[in-house]
Amino acid sequence: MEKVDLYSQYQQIKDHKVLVSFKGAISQEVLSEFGSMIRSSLSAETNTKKIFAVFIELAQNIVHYSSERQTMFGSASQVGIGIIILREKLDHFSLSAGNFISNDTVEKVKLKCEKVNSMNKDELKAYYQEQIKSPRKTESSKGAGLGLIDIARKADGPIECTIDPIDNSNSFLTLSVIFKKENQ
Amino acid sequence: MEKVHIQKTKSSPEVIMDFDAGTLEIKGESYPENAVAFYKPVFDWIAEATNAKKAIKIEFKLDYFNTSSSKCVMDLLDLSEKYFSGNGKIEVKWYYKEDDDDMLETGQEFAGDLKLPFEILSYS
Repeated sequence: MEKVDLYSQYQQIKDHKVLVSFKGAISQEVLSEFGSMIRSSLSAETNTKKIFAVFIELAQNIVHYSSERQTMFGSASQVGIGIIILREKLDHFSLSAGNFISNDTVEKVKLKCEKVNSMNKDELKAYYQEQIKSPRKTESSKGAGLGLIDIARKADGPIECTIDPIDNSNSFLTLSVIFKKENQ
Repeated sequence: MEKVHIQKTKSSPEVIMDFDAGTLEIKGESYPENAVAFYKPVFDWIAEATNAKKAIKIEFKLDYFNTSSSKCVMDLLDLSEKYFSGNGKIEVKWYYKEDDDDMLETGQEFAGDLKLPFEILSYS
């Protein structure tokens, strides 16, 4: 049997100050538990609320839009699989989320990221207002097209959007944002 | 008609709908898995209350909500505005925790150019 070296993993996570790290099926339970963890571990920070809110948006993006899906035990609905990591750096926090997306949606995501990244906070506010008042695309649509706008409004700096082509049907999407430490 | 009381969970708010009194209260945190499905009973209630020409009072006392819940709140306010412009009696109260500037601003953003009685109040 291959030896499991947990000590080196432990050290790595510790050295990189990984506060939250999860890879797997993101159910509503997982999401709210990790949300609570973020709130309690960052309770001394002034921007905890923003980090919590962006964590929820990124995690729910995975739940709804990841192309890798899993049926949860005892549930009829499927949830998305992905990875989400919160790290602490010297003067900021970095929050990243990754998941597979179908190649047909790559352009749409890219354009939306470029659009929100080109806007300042006032323009983002106006765009949010415009989007929240526009009719839903479909009756069954779970989202409202507001997630990325909200993330851009709350984060410090642009949304870093990386798309790695994987095969004919899927690509891997990584979205990263940072939050400056305010109480330094 | 009986009073409907939806208990809060970790990710969904407490909702109290009292048809006879015409009151709707939404309190707590809102980031359910499917906001549209969660708020369906609330939309049904508003539809019935406006059809019955009730005098309606809506109270929001939310500490956090995600973007898909935010869209549902906007849709509720749109319906309220339509009712008001058609001479329906309706008023909205938006409560925010004393030191929560974000929720105060969010309330102001919602109030924006809505034409209906909309009061923003703090609570401790």
